[in-house]
Amino acid sequence: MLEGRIFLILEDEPVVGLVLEDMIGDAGGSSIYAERVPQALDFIETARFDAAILDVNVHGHKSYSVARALAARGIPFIFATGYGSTLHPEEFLGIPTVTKPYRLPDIEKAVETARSLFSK
Amino acid sequence: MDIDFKALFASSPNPYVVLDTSLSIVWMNDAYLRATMRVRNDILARSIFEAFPSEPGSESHETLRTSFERVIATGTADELALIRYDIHNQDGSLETRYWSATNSPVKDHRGDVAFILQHTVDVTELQTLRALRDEMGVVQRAEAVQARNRGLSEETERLHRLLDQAPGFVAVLGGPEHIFQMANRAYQTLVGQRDLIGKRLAVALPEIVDQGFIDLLDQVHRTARAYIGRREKVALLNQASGQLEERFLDFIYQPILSDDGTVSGVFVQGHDVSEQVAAEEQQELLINELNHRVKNTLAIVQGLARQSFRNVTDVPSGLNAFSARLSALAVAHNLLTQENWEAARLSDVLQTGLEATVGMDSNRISLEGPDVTLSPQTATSVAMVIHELSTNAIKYGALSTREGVIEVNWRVEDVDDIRRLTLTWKESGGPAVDRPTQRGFGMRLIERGFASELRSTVEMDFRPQGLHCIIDTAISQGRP
Repeated sequence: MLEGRIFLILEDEPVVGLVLEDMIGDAGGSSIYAERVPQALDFIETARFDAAILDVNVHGHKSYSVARALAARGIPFIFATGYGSTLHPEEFLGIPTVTKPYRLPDIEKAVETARSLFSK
Repeated sequence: MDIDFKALFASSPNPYVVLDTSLSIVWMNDAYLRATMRVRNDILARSIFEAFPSEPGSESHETLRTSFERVIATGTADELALIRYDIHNQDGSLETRYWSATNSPVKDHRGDVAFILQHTVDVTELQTLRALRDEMGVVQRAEAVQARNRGLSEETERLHRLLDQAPGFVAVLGGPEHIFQMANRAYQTLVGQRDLIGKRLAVALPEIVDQGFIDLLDQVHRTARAYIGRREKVALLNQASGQLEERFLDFIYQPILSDDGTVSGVFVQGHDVSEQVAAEEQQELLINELNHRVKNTLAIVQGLARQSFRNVTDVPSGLNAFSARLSALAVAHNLLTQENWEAARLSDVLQTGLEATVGMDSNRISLEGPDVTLSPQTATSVAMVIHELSTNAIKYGALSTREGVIEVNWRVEDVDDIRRLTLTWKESGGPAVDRPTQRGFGMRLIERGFASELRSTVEMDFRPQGLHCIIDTAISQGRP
């Protein structure tokens, strides 16, 4: 499902970022890693990728600005969070959220949902 | 001028009689004889109780006798406002008489009571007596009612005080216009000491008009049913700041019913539960935060497990690596817990982290740098990175020999409001090292390790004499 696809990972916890990278790598995909919001915004301008996995809370900042930039370009994305129930802004209604710790099937399912959401 | 007092008294229209201290009649004037229907010689020099017999022990007898005794004993006048003392008339039959009398002492030159002067008025004949008695009855009844009312008003006053001092707020709103008839201290405090009594709610507290409370009161009037509000938000004007302030209230609007069953007003009673609501919100926030932290930590543990067992053919060594990493994480968490998850000192993080990983060999590692505090996340990252560096040192570097040592130095610079930390890890005395061909988890973590909001660089210099690692990162200090 993730095979051959490139993912942007926005995650401020290095170990957790490595886990995601490895999970995606094991599933045949590849990733580029950003640990800060501005870095992720840079990648949107400069790098090519198929979908993004955004930690909601990055060093105390919400990643919604990144989500907005992705939505504007029609790039599918999902949210990741440690919070049990995160209320996202209304504009992100329907965007799938995976909770930590991650499971590959959850990520795959969420990415599929996001992709179908953006292909409409 | 010489006045003949005896003649004066004798001709007075007021009845007077003089008794000696044995209560014998020694003098009286004509008015007295007329009032008592007696002739002078019948009663002169006789005891007053012989002249006017009465049953000893009867109320009349005892009242009069004790009055005389009081005058003799105290030397002061005694008044009998009304005394029934029946006397015999000329035909010998007993006649009911009411008197009003004053017994005054007449003292000798030593100041002792020598005589008692009685001024007495027959009040029987007064047409008003019966009426007076009836009136007294009325007055007595009125007094009884008054006393009862006093009891009632005391009770009312007591209840009023109780309501006034009650911890909850209480108010009475009368009529369909909701006019304040009463508001206790807690209510006054709630609304900021405003003038309420006699005013319409909408006038007294204009800011609540659009907040739905008047509609609710109207509803209570319409339905005659109580309304119970829970955790209801109200914005009240702060008199001092002129700002609206949010409060949360638990309250009841209880209809006050008249005898005919219509609603005459509303009894308002409740509590300000704002602090409670705030505490609950705070608690929810904390639980949510804790949940986040736990989930995040689980994700880190998941990562450590994945990396420790990944591509491992030798399960026990993978398990060891995993356990050691968990310990490093636990040590960092311990430090942070001690500081309420607000900050940790870099030297503490290094010291405890190294002791946990290398044990006794930690005395081969020197630490030197200024006092600096780290945010929880940075502290955790430092702990994990130091763990990976020291694990590598044990496996391949300076700590794999008996002689190797490690110098850890750091310095802090403030540039444009940004605090930068430069940490140097310098190994020496170990085996000659080469750049590893494969980048394992440890290496990758070290390179990425210093999670920072701003760019951080990690320079891994595999010098022949030992690894030289320079980490440069911006740090947020955490709340000290």
